[in-house]
Amino acid sequence: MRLTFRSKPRQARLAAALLAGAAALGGIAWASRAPAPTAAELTQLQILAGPGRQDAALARLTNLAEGGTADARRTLGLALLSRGDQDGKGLRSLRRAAEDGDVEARFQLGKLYSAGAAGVSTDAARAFAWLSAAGKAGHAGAAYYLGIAWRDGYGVKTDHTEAARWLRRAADAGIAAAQFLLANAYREGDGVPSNDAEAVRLYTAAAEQDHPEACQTLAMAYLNGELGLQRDEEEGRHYLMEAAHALKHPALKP
Amino acid sequence: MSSTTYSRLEVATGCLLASLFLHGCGSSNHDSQNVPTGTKATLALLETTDLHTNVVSYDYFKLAEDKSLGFERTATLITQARQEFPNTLLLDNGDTIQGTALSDYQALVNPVSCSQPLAIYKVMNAAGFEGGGIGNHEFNYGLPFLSQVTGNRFNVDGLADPAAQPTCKGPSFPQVLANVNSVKTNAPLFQPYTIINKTVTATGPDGKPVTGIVKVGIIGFTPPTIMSWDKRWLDGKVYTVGVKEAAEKYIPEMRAKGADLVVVISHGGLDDSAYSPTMENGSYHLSKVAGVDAMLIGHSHQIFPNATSTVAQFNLPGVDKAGGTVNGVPTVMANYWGKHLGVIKFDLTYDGKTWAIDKTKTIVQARSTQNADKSYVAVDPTVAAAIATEHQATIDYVKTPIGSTDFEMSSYFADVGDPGAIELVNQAQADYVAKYVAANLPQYAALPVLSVSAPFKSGFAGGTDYTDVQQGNLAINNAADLYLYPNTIYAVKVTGADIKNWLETAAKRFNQIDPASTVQQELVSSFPGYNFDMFTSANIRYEIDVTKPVGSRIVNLKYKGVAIDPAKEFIVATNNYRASGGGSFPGLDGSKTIYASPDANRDVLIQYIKTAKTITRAANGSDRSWRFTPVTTAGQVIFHSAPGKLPLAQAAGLTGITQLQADDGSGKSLALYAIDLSK
Repeated sequence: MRLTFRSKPRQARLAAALLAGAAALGGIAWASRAPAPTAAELTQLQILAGPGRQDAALARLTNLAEGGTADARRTLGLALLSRGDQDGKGLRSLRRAAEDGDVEARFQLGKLYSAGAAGVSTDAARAFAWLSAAGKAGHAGAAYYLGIAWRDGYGVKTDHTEAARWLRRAADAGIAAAQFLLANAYREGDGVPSNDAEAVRLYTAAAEQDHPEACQTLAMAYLNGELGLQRDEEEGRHYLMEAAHALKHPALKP
Repeated sequence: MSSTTYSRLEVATGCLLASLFLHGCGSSNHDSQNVPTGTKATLALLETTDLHTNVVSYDYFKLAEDKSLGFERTATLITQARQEFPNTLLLDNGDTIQGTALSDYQALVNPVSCSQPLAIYKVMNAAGFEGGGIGNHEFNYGLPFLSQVTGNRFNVDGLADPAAQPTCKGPSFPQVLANVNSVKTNAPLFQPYTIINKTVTATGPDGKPVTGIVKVGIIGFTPPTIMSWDKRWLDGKVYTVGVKEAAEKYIPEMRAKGADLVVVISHGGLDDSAYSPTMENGSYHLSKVAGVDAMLIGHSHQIFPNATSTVAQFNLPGVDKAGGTVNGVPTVMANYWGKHLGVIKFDLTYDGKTWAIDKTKTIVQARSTQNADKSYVAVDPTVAAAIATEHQATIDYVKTPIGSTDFEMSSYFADVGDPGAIELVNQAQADYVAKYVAANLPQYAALPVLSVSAPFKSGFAGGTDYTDVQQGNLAINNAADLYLYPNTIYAVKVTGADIKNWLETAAKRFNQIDPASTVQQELVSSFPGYNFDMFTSANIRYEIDVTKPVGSRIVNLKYKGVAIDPAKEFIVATNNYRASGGGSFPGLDGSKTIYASPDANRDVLIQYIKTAKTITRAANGSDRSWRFTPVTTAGQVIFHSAPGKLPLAQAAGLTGITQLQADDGSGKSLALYAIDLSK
């Protein structure tokens, strides 16, 4: 799934790959000026420090964050938050990265204020501001949450046309949950002109990614002949089974 | 090795630890090849994937044969392939131990004992599988169960020290998984790879038959997203390593240990977006790791190769959907539930050091159990025979009474107010959510818990398309009648205003009735019955005024006898479909979900019936939360249901209903009824 709709891979920026990190863990001394880690390497460190509970990885991330770039601070923040963030250091690190312009950090911070977490109260206005900052910079996950904010009026006055506009960006970037909600909008003519064919196309795209509710919608549509589809018992049963199966591993939200 | 990563140490240490505590990182048996240079052999890799414990061609919910699935038919394809190719290596991709009533029976209802293999492994052992991978569904029943049934002794938090654990009966073939590590030890949970010394019949350069050994290295990967999907079992106990990082670590090791062929068993589809160690479908990136000779993939429930496939992942650059290669690597995906068998045939030549692949002769196929004439291949009778006991025990379990009902629970008159097939579902959902909130969500403990459900079967397909559970014993399969859809329980936090909007949307079920009109008016609109959500509780009461337009029909909405405060917060138990946006209800789009349970509404219903034992009309089928606002109409208001069911409406306490015609002329076994809305 492509998570940016304005394609500017982080990897390009961090193309200079590195040896130093692994060398250190392998017992060789750190080079004094280690090249910046790639996005994939930061993600792996985040896993090791977070779900992996490896203190060495956390120390390594802390080191990278102190000396370095916003993406390292964001990664440290997320790793600490996933470990409960007892002293608020994770939130501070994430906020610093967001303030320094890291788009992913802005998105994550917006999400954090949307849902709340231990030590972080929900704050719809703040959430909307950070998500908007990320969304305007082309972050597809932020576009999805902005779609919901405009739809339901979280931190902003409800506007279903604006909601559909943001959901379209997220859906085009391949986010299944956005494809599903946009399909609903086309079905109902909610913020977009009513269009059953486009709804079916989007439901199918989401179902292909194991979105259980999209599978179920298509199941019922084929069983009942809805959305301009011919009744098709076999196809309906197929989607019902796919819905059951997808529930065990649903397409994850951004 | 420009892409060396920080995880290397952990991966490497893991292998060392694994070799101390588990089975080692593959057998480094350097048997010298005793075949002469120039010897040729044909070896076909055979893949099953996503079997999901479909052993017999049988649907346990319908209690009926289903020839389109089941390993007993795949086994026939395996036999045929073994007749066709002189040497075959049978491997499974994973998602093997979960997915039918049989698997639930052996995991949850009557857990398989330490000394017995799971039914699916029993038949796989008999079929001569020589290796397997681990899918995401293997983790669905938790780590202790997985450790037991795979014959492992996991060294993870929550399980005894491996030395204190028994080694239970697992599959008789090795299982490999390279990208899941124990938090406690940083070692891989399973052996990451193994090298199979495959004895093959071959032809020497002199044309005479010889016997040789091909060393086939197999390495397994599962989607890193298991950490989200099975968080309740895995969080704090295991973590994932990126599939690319793990492959780049172990494949050179496998080569160093003499692997002639390296076969990646990747439980994941193809995704060409930028690589991330957390991506769900990593097989596209695995194909680009040096030293991969073949990929057996799965997880997506699709067929590959398939020249006509319109599936996005098989139409990516570098993917040859007709020839079956991904970035040049022969790749197969064998659909699901035993519907297909994957085949990758290699022609090999021994060059004095290793077996080299003649790439011009490789064949990749996904073979169906369905013949061209739509019939299915015959079963291999030994498969069902081997698990006859487990199969029958599962059927008995599905048929076992779990309680009884003193009334016929039906949806014939749900549209006009009978809660008889709905209230029990609402009670089970509310009970489950209330208990969960009390135990786990103290911040919401003060909020009332309500529940909604809908008449899922409401006659769309005709007179037989209604829920109708007879008075008497209730069995597991009746629960599927009462709860039709595969849903899981979700709880949403909403306001009184949200509840009103919710009910206004549900009330689209009805046409707007003109009381002055003298012609017959149809009561029920085309708005689907499965979206006609309703409360069925003494605590909540409302009227639906069908003379009003959509959006202003809900009147006298009261909670505990008092008009509902639009700002007051409630928790409503519902399902994943509704909570996530299904039916386009206002404000319901996932953002109000406070609990997304992994438990199925149907299973929760079963548990509720087991606890209650006796279901009664008085306690479980008579709380009408809503009524039509009384109105006298000049003409008849009509609706359709199955013929001859009037006594059921009367038993539900509904008055003012009459059957006008036993056949409404639709040809769908429906009768025409009238309702007097003034009653």
